[in-house]
Amino acid sequence: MRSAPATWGSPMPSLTRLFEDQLAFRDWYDRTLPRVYRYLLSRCSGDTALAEELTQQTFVEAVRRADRFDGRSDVVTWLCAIARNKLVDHCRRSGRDQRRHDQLVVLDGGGDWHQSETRDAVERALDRLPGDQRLALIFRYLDQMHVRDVAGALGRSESATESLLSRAREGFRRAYGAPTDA
Amino acid sequence: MRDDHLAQLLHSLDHIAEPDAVFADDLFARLSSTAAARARGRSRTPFLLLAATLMLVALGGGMALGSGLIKLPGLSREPLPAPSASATATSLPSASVQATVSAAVNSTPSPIPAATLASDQIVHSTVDGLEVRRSTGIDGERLGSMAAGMEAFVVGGPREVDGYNWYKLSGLGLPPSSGCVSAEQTDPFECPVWGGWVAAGDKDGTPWLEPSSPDCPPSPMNLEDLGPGRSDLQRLACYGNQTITFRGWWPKLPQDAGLGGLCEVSDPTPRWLVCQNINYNLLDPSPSGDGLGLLRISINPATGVTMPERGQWVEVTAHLDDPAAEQCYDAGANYPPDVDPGERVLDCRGQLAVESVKVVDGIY
Repeated sequence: MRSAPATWGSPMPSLTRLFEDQLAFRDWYDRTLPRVYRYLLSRCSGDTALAEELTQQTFVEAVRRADRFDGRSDVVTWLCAIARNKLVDHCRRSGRDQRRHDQLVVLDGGGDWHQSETRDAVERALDRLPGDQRLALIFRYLDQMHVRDVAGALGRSESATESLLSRAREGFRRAYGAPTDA
Repeated sequence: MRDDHLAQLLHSLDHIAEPDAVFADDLFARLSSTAAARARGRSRTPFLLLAATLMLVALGGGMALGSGLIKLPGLSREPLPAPSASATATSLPSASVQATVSAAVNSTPSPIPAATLASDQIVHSTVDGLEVRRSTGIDGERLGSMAAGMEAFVVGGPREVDGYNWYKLSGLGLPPSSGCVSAEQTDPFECPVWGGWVAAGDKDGTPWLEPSSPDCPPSPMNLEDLGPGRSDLQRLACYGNQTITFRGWWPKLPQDAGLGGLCEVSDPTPRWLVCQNINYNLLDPSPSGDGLGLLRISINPATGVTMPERGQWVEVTAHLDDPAAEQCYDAGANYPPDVDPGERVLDCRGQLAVESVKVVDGIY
């Protein structure tokens, strides 16, 4: 085994090695946790409780699956991919229970979330969309994912995802109060 | 409202809040406990294996194995498959997957004409429920099934067994940021990381697998076209080992650059292919990238290629399927324990080996 040169963004070809060094593991955790938490908070209507719950699920999954991390991407990218899965799972679950979804929307607005009027308006518009449309917009325009990746994340075909995005864009424009392109 | 305005609005959601300290500490305590338990488990594994082996010997396991009364995983008496054609599935299918058998391969076998699929080709299933098995033949363990239209990469074959032509297929792999973590989710086929043998058609000649026509942007191209939405195997199917040229952004290291990782592979294994990420040779489609569309490149030290200063557009000439990839067969130490040698080779074949790099003004 050899030491590697200094690298960027904590790539860890053998993430499981971290587990044998408590200090290194703490360092890794301290550097990655805020980025994953912010990623989720921005996509959870600013709901800190939900962001914490999904952050916890993400890190538990990451530790459980650490030997699956092959170092081929930035570890935060990998963690955010797991987080995205958790977000999709959450929306699927809550989508089966609209009342729960409504509760989540009501919970929106904790902490310093409403510092920005624009953010507030965007969030309100997103909240009016069905969960799958909301995720599709977030993945496509906030995460800047390709349509085919959005399709993969949502478990849909590419053409179905295009249609979903089209409806989502239109729904968002209407909810946000912006004029249509027509 | 245009798409860029929509993107701008959604970026207003970006948050700078820090996680609550109590939450962070509680989670760390839970994780470190799990991690420590895992580390202990890893270190014990070799001793457990040794103990198990000694116990088998003591019990006269050799006699039992010879008589076929005991069948141990990994001790098959069948010939070992070629590196590129060994079973690579990493998980057992769920009950729902096992039950999906609409295109069952269980009737009386009879010879069929040789199929015409080629290795390194993308194919798709023409039927729902096409069985994927750990080994060739109708008695091979079922790993899952392919839905109609589902695509895969042809790793090897054909092998004629039980009257069917079998091909070794691999899931197309994970495009960056696909969101799939492993093949061990609810259904192993939800994530495109899988591998197994599939019969290419019915005995009457009806095809169950047909070649696909992947969208392959011509070289030269921009990284946006080559990269982030495609998996390694999709690129490999497109370009084989031909030289391609593309432009991308060579990003600066962020201030919170980590300490890096370890490569457990020693010479003469091609570390530069196995530990591609070790030097963070990652290109970004654009300077404003958020790290979700990075594509790695691999540099063979023997070529003398060096990267320029970071923070510039670069034009890279590279190829996939470098001959050194075959040596990845022996690079097991740097892979999860259940990744078989054939899968390691396939992984290395999908890496972009750099031939030259030059600084350019921008993208095409």
